[in-house]
Amino acid sequence: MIELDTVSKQFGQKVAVKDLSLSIPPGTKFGFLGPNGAGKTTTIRMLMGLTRPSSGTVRVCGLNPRREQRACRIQIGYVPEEHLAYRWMKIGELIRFCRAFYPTWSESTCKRWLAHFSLSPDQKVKTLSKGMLAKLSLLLALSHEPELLVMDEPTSGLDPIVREEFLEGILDMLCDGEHTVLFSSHILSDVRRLADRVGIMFGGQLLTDQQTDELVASTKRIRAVLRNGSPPRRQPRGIICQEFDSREWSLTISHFSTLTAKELQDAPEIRNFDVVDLDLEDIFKDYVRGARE
Amino acid sequence: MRIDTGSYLPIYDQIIKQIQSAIASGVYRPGEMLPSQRALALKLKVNPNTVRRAYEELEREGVVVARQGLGMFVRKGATKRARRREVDALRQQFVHAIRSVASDFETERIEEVFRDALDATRKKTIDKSDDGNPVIR
Repeated sequence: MIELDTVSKQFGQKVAVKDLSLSIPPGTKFGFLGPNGAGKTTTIRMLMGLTRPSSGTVRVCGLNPRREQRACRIQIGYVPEEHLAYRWMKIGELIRFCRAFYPTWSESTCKRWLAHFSLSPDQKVKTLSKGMLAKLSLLLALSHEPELLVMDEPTSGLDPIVREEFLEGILDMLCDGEHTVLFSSHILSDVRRLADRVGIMFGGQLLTDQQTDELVASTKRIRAVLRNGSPPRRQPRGIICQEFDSREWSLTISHFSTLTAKELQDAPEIRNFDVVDLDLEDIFKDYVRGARE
Repeated sequence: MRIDTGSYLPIYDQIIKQIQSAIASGVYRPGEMLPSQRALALKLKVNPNTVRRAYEELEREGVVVARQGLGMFVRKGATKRARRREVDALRQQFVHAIRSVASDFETERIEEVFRDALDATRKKTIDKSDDGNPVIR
């Protein structure tokens, strides 16, 4: 559904995305994590054909999103970071305007979400609150019943109640058929609920790309007490980040297994160690911390 | 049912455990239908694929059975099986606790601590005080 092959994007001297390769098959719900400035929005804009990559190839729904922008765009429901332009229009006018672009527009889906989100066609867009704008933006993205939904931080800055309604809208769509979703978010509980696959981006590069449950279940933090303060000469594989504090060595490891545990047990430099479970937030922070060092 | 997004436990695992305990405690009885995948996904606010995965696992374990076009039904004998599984889970927790903090304790000492813990949980019944507020005794 989405194919990126060694894609880079430079703005002047600044590298926003560097050699990014990513393959997302149909049906995947992909959550894109990364601190501000990691290159998520640039990547999403390249998928939408709004930004031209400096090098590499981008394919979305089998098309080149820049050269075949129109054919590509009508297959994607897009919720941009900045919700909506056309603020002088009324909701009803905006809907009629958007409807004209999409041959697959469903009047019944649109009506259902207008009612569910308590939006009225007579309201002016510029009078809407941030939460209502977000809902309108989602409504427009869902009403042409796209195969692929792309959202750039759709729920940031929304209150928990609007966020829940928003989530319901997405889930309602996901329950009917095999849709593909790619979204970026800083709200890790939403990512945990929605994404079956997670990519963590930093400095324009993908640090990891794993199944969500596997990532959370197999990333562990080790707290080891060292005999004389120096770490084992043979370090375990998959270290994401590490820290020394006197004789305590704490390290976060990806793909932790009984094999890793055995390696640590056998290391003569380690007196003893604990294995600690991590949640998605800790894992995300440790990846970024490790990449910064 | 509730999903803890802060837990390291996979969400489908959380769903499986909660449905099993609901079956063990008689919330769902043999022959009854579980919520549809769609209804549960919307209620718990999780990806419907995750619910499907949990239901498939429960079916593999023989707790529920899918009836084409209808939904998931609790199987005959599932209550007993789910209860046995809860006992297994409890036993595993004990094993983990003993191994991690009490591996060098004597058996009598462990039994004593266990009885203490049991007493402490049994005594914790909630009464109403005179002003109507709940008090934990």
